[in-house]
Amino acid sequence: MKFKFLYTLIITTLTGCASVYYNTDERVYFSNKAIMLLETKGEDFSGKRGLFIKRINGEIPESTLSTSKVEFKPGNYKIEFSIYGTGGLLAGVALGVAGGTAASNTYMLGTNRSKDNPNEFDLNLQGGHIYLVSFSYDDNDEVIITVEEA
Amino acid sequence: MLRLTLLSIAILIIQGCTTFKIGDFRNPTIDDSSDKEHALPSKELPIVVQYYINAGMDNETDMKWTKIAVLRSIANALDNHNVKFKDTYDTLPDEYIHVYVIQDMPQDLREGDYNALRLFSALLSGLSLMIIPAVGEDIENYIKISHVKNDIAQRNQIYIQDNRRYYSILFLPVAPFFTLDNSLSDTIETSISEYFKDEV
Repeated sequence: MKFKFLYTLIITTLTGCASVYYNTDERVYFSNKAIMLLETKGEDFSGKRGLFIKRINGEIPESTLSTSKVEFKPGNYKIEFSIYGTGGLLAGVALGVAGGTAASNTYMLGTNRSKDNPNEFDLNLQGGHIYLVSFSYDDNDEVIITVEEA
Repeated sequence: MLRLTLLSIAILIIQGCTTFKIGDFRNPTIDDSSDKEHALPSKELPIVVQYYINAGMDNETDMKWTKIAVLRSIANALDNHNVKFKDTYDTLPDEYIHVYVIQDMPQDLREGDYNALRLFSALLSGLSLMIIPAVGEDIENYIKISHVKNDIAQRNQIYIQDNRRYYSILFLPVAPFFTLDNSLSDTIETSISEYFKDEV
């Protein structure tokens, strides 16, 4: 059981790496890249909901992008955001690790993706600027995503 | 086994979580239409503040204390108590100093963040009953300061400071002095001091 837990942790760590760089790299100077921060709500115990970049210029990014920070070359982009959710430790305890993971994946890949809520933005991202992406819910529990330049 | 698990959980709850600066304080050049040659604004202008963190904005208790820390550190740094959050204004003043406080707190396993090393340190820390410090997440503070006159930003500057959290029972005595809010206040005060350093 101990080894199974360790194995799960290690696999999650090694396979869960997400890239911060869409078309830049760590050597690019601050004034030559646009930084986008994406909001996450909730916490580990009860579960989290957050934003991820679903498509850029109509295409799914080749590498898995971070769900909290992504850096871009300055330019015009059409970016589609979506919402993901994880069950949290409560779900993990209730359903077991495998059940919790399955529930989280279903939630992330199923429920929210089936909603017809494109949330696509035409953005002119400028170098040396920070873009803050947040989300909230309206009265009908529909997600409202906002992008603000700091 | 059960006793050991419960003891580990108890220690985990009361362990010290501390936040320390890492790397240099940065003041990068930004490609912007604003001109740094503009005269420095008066410190007596109203100060309009905005705050964003990409994790936990919905936690009202944490946010309340962080927002108080932000307002206090700005007021102290400028010796000006006319400091308010933007959403409390019905109409913005014609001229003001705008301070945007932004925190990047990773909630995912980012490439290049030494995740394997962090996991190893967490395991080692757990096995040593939290005596060996566990390396936590890196938090990046961005402070953007602008002088805004008639809706036009005349002098923009961004300041950046990286911080890292460490978890260990050894840090328990100093934990109240090295909180996340303390490190943010420190970055804000240094940033404001840098912004006004050419003041005659």
